[in-house]
Amino acid sequence: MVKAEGPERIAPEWWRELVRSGGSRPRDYYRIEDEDGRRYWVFRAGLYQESDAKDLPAWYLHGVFG
Amino acid sequence: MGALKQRTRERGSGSAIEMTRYAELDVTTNFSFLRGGSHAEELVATAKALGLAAIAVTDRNTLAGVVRAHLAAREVGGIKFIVGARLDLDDAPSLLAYPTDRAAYGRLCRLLTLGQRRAEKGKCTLHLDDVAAHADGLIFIVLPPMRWIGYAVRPPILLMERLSTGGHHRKVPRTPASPSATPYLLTRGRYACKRRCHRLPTRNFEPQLRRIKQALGHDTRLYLAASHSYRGDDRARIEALAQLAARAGTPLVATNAVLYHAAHRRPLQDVLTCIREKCTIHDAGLKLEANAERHLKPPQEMARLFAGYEDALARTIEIADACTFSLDELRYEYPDEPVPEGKTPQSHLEDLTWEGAAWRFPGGIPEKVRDTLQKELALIEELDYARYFLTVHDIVHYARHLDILCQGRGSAANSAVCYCLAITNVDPTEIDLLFERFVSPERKEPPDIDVDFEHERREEVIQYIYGRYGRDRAGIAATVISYRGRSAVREVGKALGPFRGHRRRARHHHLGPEQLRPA
Repeated sequence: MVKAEGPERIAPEWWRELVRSGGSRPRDYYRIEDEDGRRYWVFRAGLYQESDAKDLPAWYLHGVFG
Repeated sequence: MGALKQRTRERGSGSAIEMTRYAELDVTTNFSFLRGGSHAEELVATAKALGLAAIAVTDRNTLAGVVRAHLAAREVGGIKFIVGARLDLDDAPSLLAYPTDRAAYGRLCRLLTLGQRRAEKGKCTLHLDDVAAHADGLIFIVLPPMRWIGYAVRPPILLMERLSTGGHHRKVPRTPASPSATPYLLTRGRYACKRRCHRLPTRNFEPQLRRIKQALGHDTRLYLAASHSYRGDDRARIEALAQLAARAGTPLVATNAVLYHAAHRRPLQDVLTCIREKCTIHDAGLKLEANAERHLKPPQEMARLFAGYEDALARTIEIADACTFSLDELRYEYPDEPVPEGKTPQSHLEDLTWEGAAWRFPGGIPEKVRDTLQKELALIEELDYARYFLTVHDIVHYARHLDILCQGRGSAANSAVCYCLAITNVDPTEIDLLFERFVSPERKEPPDIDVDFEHERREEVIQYIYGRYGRDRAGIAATVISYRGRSAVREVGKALGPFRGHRRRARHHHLGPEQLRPA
């Protein structure tokens, strides 16, 4: 990875039933670019400062830029 | 991932960050009706707990919230409070304005009065020219549009779902992080509206900034605000703002555009937005903030966010230090009452009182009343309240003259002077008056004489007061409305939408003052 842009922070929609039952965490979305110029849309679910050791935030690849 | 690693390092790196001083200068309280999610008191107490050097209050076209914030800052101690207002203008981007001294505070008040009187109730109409005419001694911060930079990228192709040709209905993708919330729904609005809201202000803002700079004059201290919006473009946007600030000669200053004291107020702020925009939470979409970041942040966090822009943080302290005005400098200034030639307000009041006493007690003034009157008049003289008593006497005298029923009430009934001036009707020989409950040197606040007028004819009295003092010197005192239990539940119910369960729950839910008051 050579470039990154972000985060765009999307907090859970607290008014949804399943969110309120605790299933969701805020996401930080980043646009990243590798050395071949391919761009990816990734997010991290959860914030480090709000997480404990056994429940660390996880990274996901959500999309690619065409 | 270089940027991410670097950020982690910054967080750990020591003392420079610890030493940062920061003042929050962009703060919306619940006196910006249906916008702010916290009380002034909560904001001030939190700012103090987080270690901020100072906090301002900048409600929309009003100073209504500053008194509570001022008192709260005095109570918690150790944090400076800065009086301010956000000026939403008809013909230019919004400005934050801070009076540096008593005279500038007066100009800011006059500017707001001008705007309020021009518009219908609850609105304010101000133009850049008006601000320029009142700008002496004020410091301004220009607020750039939140969405400022357009992107030349196309929306990403999502991996976890089929692309449909026709648009918005797609199979809900399931991600390990959140089986319920769909990433597509979370981001749909952002990309859908991109062209509309991301592109628009970009071209216009720089000329607008230059126009403000020119209108306010080169001697006026004018800054440009930058805050992290967490919309994904913060680095680029803040760098662009910094360059623009340098080009335009309006130094960059860091803020967090605060809407509530702590992140947990986001749901309440969302509901307020829904009530304001008359929509439900389910169809509010982009009217809501995407995240809970608009809370007060400690200096260390602001230093992390503005790494590389340390001067923008330092300028918050520079502005805080320049604002030396405090509400403690204000005291009530009574109107000068015309008094007969050769008399002072005090001697005129004394004459009227003794005349009144002779009228109240045709058989001679009792010794006890005479003592009481002398004591009261001495205290009125000491505290320089004679003009106030003369003002009330004048109004009551006018009403009596036209046979308009009126009656003083409340603590003023503890005054023999008020009895003799015919403002009240409690005979001091019948009960023991507690004048100290009304006026005393210990109570450092001016006396308050409440007078009820016959309501069908109250307008005549109001018109008399306007006629006597002038439309620009007399006004009907404003009250700021707030939600109470039932109306709060009803409005929140509307915002949450047509789910009967919600509303039933809200009705039975015990809503303590904590949940209700902030509206």
